Amino acid sequence: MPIKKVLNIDGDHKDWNSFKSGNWEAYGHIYDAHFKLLSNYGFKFTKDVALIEDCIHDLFVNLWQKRAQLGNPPSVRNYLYKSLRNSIFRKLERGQKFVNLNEEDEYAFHFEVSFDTLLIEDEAKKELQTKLKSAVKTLSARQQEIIYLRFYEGLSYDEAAEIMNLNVSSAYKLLYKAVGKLQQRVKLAELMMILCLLAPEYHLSRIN
Amino acid sequence: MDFSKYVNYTCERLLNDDDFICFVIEQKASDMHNWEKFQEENPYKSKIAVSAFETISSYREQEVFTNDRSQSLVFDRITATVALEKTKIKRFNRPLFFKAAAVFVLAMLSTFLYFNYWHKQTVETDFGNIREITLPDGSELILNGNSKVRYASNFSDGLREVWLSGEALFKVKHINIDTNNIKPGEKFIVHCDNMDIEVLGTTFNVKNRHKKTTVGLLTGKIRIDFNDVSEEYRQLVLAPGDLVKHSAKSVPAQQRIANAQQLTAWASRQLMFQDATLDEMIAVLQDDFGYEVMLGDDKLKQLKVEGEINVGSVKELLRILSNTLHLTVKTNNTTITITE
Repeated sequence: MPIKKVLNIDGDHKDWNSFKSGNWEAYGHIYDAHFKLLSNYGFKFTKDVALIEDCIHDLFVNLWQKRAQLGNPPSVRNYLYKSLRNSIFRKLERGQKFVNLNEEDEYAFHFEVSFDTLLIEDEAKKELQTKLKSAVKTLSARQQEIIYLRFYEGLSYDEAAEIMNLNVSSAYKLLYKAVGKLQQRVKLAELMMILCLLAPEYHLSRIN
Repeated sequence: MDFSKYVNYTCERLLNDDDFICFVIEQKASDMHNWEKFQEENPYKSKIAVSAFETISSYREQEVFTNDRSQSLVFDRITATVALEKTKIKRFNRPLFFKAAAVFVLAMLSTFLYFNYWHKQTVETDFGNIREITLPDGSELILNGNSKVRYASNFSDGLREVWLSGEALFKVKHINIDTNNIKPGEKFIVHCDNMDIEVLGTTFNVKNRHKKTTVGLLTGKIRIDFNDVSEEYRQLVLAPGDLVKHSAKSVPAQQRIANAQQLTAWASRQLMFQDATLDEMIAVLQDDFGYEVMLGDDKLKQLKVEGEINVGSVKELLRILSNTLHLTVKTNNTTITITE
């Protein structure tokens, strides 16, 4: 199940401003509001929990020390996502033995979401998710990441592009390709079949 | 939200549409009503939109990793680091007045500490008896059987010290922070006979028996000062998951914790072993529970139980030993006799 996000933009900015002027309590609020989100995002890049914790630690220590020079990001969450992502990449790179020469094409990190197939009771939905799972596996890491940022985190193109250090048009291309690939894999015909199985449910919900 | 425009959309186009994605993610009640109506009015043409809806919903059913358990621990580490940096920065260009004041305060503190030495509390546990202790600063420690811990009955500001022999699991509390004013990091030190461990808000296990000390760090950061090794090995900073073994006059050996649960199993009164030799198990029976173990033949020590043992009592452990290693185990009060 998705994490319930309580993103109160006004409160966010109030905390951000008072944190910048040195308020430790506001800093704690920002930490508490984002720790789970950051952990979840980091876990897509690496399963090394200690490394994620270290990155979050470094990120927040850095934030506190640089607080006087910080601007006002449109979204605190996205700003933290981007910083965490950079920090994880730097740490993973240090641990890497091989240099990836073909950087244009693909970065050397994997990005992986794991699905909750076991928790879904409805057979047809389970079927759909199994299909989706194998389809997502065929995507490149960057394609998987942009799909995640769009469908799970609900970010706009501009926001996703900003986090992934892409320009907006390449973000658009990347996503379009990824979605096209997903479509091919989860064939429309099969989807229709699945929907027919789901149909009785819709009727029921209408009666109730 | 008006769905009628989606009638002629392809699935791809829907999956790229900001408004549509937002609707699927939020599923506001008002939108859902229109969504139902849209399907009723266009039973066939809405199929594509429904499949896009199901695809996104299905994608969103994914596992979440929130790492709740570490949330406050990581914040403790952040607090400690920030506090430390603060004291570092303060060290420059202090006028003479402050230096003099510092010397004066130090003198006061030493006097205070000296008097504190007369107000020490000692907690000693018997064999097989585990005690949970809350220290004056709210830090917790779980003391294993046959162990002893000594500490001041009230910690003076700025220094918290504990003397340990035996085994204990520490959960050190970070210093409370009042808003807008972070105090410099206060030290917490654990003394063993061959090392001092300096802590900043963290969880770790110390085992100090037969002049041999093992320290395993679970979360946070600690620094160890060895008192009996050459200069180059004098200090060691541990990262979470590090395990350090040190016995008299040898170079401290650093490895990774293979199984954190096993390291701290004793604290929840579990006996846990992984591929352990009989020798290792006997050591625990003697050190933690105070049994005297007699072996029919010294060669038996090398026998190994492959895999994991996880039991809640000595009795169960002995039963497993006799079954898996085909030995005869006799218990008489506090003496255990093991023969082939």
